Amino acid sequence: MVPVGIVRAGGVPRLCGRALRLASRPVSTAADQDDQPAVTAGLPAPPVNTNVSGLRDWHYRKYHGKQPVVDEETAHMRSLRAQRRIWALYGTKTGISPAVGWPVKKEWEDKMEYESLAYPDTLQEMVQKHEAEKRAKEEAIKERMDAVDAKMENLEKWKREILEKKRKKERELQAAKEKHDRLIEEVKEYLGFKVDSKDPRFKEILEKKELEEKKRAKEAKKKEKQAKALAKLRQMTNEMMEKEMPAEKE
Amino acid sequence: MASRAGQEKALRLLRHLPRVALNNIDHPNPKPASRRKRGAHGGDTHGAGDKGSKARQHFARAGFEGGQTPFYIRIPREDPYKGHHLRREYPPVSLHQLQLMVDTDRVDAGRQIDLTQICNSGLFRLEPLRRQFGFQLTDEGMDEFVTPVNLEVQWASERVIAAVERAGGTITTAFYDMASLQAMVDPERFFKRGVPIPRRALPPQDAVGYYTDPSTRGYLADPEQVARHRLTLAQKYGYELPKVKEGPLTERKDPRQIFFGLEPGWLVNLTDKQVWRVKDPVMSEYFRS
Repeated sequence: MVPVGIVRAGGVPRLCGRALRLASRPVSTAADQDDQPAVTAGLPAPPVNTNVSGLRDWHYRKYHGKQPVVDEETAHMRSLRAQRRIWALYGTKTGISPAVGWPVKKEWEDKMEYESLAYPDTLQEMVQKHEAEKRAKEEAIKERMDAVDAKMENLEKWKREILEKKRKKERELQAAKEKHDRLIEEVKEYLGFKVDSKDPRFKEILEKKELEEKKRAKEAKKKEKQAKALAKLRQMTNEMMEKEMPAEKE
Repeated sequence: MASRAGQEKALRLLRHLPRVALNNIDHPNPKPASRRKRGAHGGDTHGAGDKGSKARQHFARAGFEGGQTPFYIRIPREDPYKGHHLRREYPPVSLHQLQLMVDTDRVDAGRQIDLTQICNSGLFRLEPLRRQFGFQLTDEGMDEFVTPVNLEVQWASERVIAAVERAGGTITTAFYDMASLQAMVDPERFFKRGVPIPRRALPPQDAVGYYTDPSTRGYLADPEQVARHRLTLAQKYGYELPKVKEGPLTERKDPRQIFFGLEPGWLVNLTDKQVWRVKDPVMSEYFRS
């Protein structure tokens, strides 16, 4: 086992820093002791150094479960946070009161303010809100469903209406087309040759035809009237004849 | 309509004609064969026209449409990950794993198995700072789960609840806020901080519905309703509900409590093995409410 402080460099053992210092310390020989006996007598024995590990003081204390030393170097350990931890790790032997654990006034006020903002509602209020939301959602769904149901009732009717409309349009178009064609045919018959519907002659001819038709219609009406009148007269004469006849008979 | 003679002629022809393939029928061919622009008539600008960004290989960025609002801007954005960094996570623990833990003594089935017990087993780790708010119990191994246990998890589905209750145990879903979680996940580390046990906060608005619902065995639900739901669940899944005796299987925490036997506001010292209570009336009232 190589003792601490001895470093093997290139096969030749050398002493490293601390070992070198230890080795080069002046060692008191018998001659020295004889020279100064009076100075050391009566004084207390020098303290024995038990820390042979060579660990730093803070490290040694931590390793052995001793509380840390608070001085200018470790001034941060005076903070509440650090004091709480020291108390928690080392207990009452540290001399720290357990009261440091609980929040101080400022911390308490901050905490209360935070909670009032982060948790503004009580449990009952939160539950009520939750139920209200749930109900609102369900109602919205129900409304939509009812609206759809109402529309579904009329669906067949609307379908039929739309179809009717469509068919009516088609029919009208068809009728107009047929009429148009018929007119062309008639005009063609009238003239003997085909005239384009957009031609101005077409219109003239149509007008003529219309006039003729009206005349005919008038005459037809007249004839009807005459026929009616005749029929009425006949009837009247017949009635008169009948009246006279029975009288004669009698 | 072909006549019989014509049909026969056609059939005779077919015997000698080659197989029908794309190269001998008339079909649309959308891709014209690309032709290299080379030589006397394809040279000079080689199909690139005169000047312009295209000829100089200095094209505009991909997606640019000459100034017209491009497609990738025109279409509205969808945010599938919006708010993902704020959502709560519940790492899974399966019933199979739980049964294994109980059988191998990694977890004590004689007491309530809650978040702390699962973390202390060493098999699962929860990171509250990564928005992990607890464990969810999954249904893997639910058919083989037979131990009566007193469970407290943060989320469980209906089937899992049924599996646990069928085995004769009880299950509760409970919420823990961030501070409470950090205490629960590693109690030893928490006590070494020297701060009092926090008071557990109520669940947030979006979780209140879950934790007050007896059908999910929420810890804030009415116990009578919970008992009724136990019965109906047994009827639904067709198992006989075992009787649960008052004891370790029915011990429950207060909604503001984190550790059994310890109240919020108490200060614990592990070195001295001492527990300190707060005397201040204001603080005491707060911690006890």
